[in-house]
Amino acid sequence: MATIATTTLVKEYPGGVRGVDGVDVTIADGEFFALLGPSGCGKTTLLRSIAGLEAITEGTLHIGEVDVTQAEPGERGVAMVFQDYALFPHMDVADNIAYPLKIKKVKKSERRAKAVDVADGLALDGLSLRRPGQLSGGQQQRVALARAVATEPEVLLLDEPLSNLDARLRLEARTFLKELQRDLGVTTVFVTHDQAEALALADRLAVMKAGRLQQVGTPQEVFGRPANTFVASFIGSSPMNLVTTTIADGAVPVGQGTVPLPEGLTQADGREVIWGARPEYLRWSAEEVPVGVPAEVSVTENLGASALVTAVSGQEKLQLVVPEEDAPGPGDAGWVVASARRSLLFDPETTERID
Amino acid sequence: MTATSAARSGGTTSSTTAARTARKFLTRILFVLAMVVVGFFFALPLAWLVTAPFSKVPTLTVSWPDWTLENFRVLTENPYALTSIGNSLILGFGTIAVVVTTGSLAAYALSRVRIPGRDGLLYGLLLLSSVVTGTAAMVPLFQLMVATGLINTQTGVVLALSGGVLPTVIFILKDFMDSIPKSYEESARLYGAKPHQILRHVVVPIARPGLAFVAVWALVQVWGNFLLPFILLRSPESQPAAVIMYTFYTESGQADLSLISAFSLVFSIPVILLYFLVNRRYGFRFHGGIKS
Amino acid sequence: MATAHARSSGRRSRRRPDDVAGLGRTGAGTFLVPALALIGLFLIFPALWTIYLGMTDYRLTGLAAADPQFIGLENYRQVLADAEFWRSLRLTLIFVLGSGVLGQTLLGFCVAWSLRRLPRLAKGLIETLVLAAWVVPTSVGSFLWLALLDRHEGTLNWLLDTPGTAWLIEYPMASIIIFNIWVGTAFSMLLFSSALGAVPPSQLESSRMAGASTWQQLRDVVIPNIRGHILTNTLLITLWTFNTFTPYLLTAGGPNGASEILPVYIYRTAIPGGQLGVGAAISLLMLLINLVIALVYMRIGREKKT
Ligand SMILES: Nc1ncnc2c1ncn2[C@@H]1O[C@H](COP(=O)(O)OP(=O)(O)O)[C@@H](O)[C@H]1O
Ligand SMILES: [Mg+2]
Repeated sequence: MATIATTTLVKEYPGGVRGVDGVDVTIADGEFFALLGPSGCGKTTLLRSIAGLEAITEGTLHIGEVDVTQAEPGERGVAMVFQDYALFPHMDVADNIAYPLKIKKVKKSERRAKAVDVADGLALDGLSLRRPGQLSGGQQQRVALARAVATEPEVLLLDEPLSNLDARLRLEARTFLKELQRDLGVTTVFVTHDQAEALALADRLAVMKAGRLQQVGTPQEVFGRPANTFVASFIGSSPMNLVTTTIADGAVPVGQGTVPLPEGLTQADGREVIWGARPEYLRWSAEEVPVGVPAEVSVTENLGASALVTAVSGQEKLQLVVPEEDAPGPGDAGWVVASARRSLLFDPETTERID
Repeated sequence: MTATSAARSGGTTSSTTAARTARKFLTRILFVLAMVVVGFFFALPLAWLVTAPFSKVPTLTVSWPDWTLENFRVLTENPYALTSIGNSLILGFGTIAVVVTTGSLAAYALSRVRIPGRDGLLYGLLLLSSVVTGTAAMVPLFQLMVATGLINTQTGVVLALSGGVLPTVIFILKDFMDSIPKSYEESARLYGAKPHQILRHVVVPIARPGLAFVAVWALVQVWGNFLLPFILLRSPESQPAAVIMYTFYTESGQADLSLISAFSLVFSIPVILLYFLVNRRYGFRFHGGIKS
Repeated sequence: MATAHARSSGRRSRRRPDDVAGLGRTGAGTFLVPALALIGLFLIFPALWTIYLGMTDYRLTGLAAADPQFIGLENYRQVLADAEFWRSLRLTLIFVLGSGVLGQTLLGFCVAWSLRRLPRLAKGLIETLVLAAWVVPTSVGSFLWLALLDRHEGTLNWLLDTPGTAWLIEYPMASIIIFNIWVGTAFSMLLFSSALGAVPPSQLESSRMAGASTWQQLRDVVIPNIRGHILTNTLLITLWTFNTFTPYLLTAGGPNGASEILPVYIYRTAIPGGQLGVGAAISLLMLLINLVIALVYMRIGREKKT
């Protein structure tokens, strides 16, 4: 199949907005790659630049060793599923799926047969004569996928393909998508603003902000060792606790207590840092501990099997996830305990992680 | 009556509810009355069109018809009547063909490509079209047709009419195409479709309601157009119904109402039918036009 | 396959078109050419030629027909000094205001608004009648009105029991204004029906829940939502009404020029009057007035937006 490689890719819109601002990324052959970031950060722009729907302003784009920076979209061997699916309303499901083959001048009977074949593979049996308007959201999404894979593309691009589905369907479609990608082995770039989706699906993911890449890595890397405070607070179902503080006595003062320095790090006293720890990696103790942050619970939110506790210590608010049965109630006092292995320091000036 | 008596006898709350019911009832009556007046206003002139052709001796006054088809027999005997309808059809469908093809190409390009000065161009043309197709351009058009040898030909009239209606056609079609999501074309383009294929396979089918509306609108314009064919076509055999109709009630001293009434109806039916067919099937949508 | 294509295109140094259709400027140009050629030849050329004609003493017959002389702005001086021109302009403004802006737009809006609350059958009936008046060929439509308003046999006189009233002579302006409303209301009705259909129902519902009257709903929800439509509609209707020649078929500008709107005035000057040069000069003046109107509307539209 094909790798995708960009070098200092820039897309500048008329008017000077840089949708993508100098992106260097290499996506391996057969990889399931997610582009993640808040709305407006340039994910769609990057995806459309790869597809060839936006002319690249600066930099180069290679798909499988070939420089396609200036190539027509139809010449790149890419297929794309649009956020609104873009199914042709005047064609039935089979014609929609077969449309790319029509352009390739495949005979009508042959391409209808192929379309029905692909549709069956995507649990769309018996729907081939319906119009898109007569399908449910999930079915439409699968038709769009079917149309995209019917051409056996080298690269599959997906722009928030799950965001128009309701929550339950989204989980199903997510699993379905992952299986499909694994079966086809096609290099896939997947755009989403939902960090959980990206973590669940991707082999690797890139976090974007304002047109630039913030971090590229496996879900474990990005979750466990975010490159900067932006990634740290963007990834995770509840954002990482970030506290600006000054190192004292070889430990990190937080609120009215202290937490240990992260493992393997030594910092001079008096240096200003941002200390970070995920709520999932903090612990609540009702009894006093040697190193901890005394705090009072202000809110407890039920998450099902666990609870998200917000505790206040002096000026600082800390959030931690506690197993359901141990959850303290509002007003309870106790200690927040951090682990040296699971906490990080960031430079307050550059916001980069300190290693 | 009931409302006022209820208001007198009842307490404050019931009197206000009664008054409100009365007011609601009154506005409803006024509303229905207004609708009846509007309906009557539009129906009154049309009444003659559907009664007179079927009267034995049509007069200008609307009266209950005798349901005779005699007047239509008179019509078939007139040498120009039926050919003139044929001529109108030629002019009408000729113009539709020219206008819909060139207009949709142009509207599509204007809708999708940022051409500098696009909006100015569109409004300039729209402005010109409403002025120049009228009396203003009669003389230059006449001279132009003489110079190009298109005088006294249907082709000449079709082209001149097309030039006149095209700006509005482009304006309406562009408004329609602006509302079609771009992702349809983008996805076709990703699969390698060329611009003309995108237009044929995707844009035209999706824009069909707009195209149909524009076609009928153009037909209505051409069907009733009197001035251009009157000036550009000199022989009665090639003149369309609008011109023949005019000669029917101006040339003979006493207007022949049998002929006029039957002719009016036959002349009106094709556009009315086509219009209602298209309207039933597609409806009419307009998205604001002036955006910029 | 795709790879081979890409390689060959990579070598080409052209910039890729940056629009959804992949047309590019040249492609767009090609798409525009046929329409622009027609418009150029049959619209722009006559318009430019009119400018030239307006500065000659070109006539339909006689010496000046064979060999027109350039006389500069003489025609304009003559027209602007002509009391008939000013009367005609005044009548045109009344006609446009009465039948176009007030009549068609307002009635069209009211009908479109009312249709939404009528039962299906009544809605279909009214819509059909309004549309039929519009679709009927103008020469038929005008004859229908001649019959309706006829002095001796007209249905109107019979209905109102006013035998012998010559409506077209006694009330010529009112007649052509009402006639034009009858002809043209359908367009506004269609346009506003479409516009009203696009007003988000949730906005209407929330204003109704806040207790807004119909009038307040119109002012606060409907009008702001359909401002673009109102503007386009008024602009088109104004231009169309300004330039319509159809009232000629009813009153021929009479009696004594009492309903001689500008297009009729031009026609009478140029064809029966034979002064083609003067006719062209008036045409150009009319074009300028239209231009001013259009610019005013655009300015209003732009101001409202900010
Ligand atoms: N056609 C366009 N013209 C100008 N600016 C645009 C256009 N499309 C997107 N942008 C801008 O580019 C940036 C990135 O947009 P986009 O790629 O759509 O973000 P995302 O998909 O991550 O939400 C945004 O600031 C947006 O306003
Ligand atoms: Mg996006």
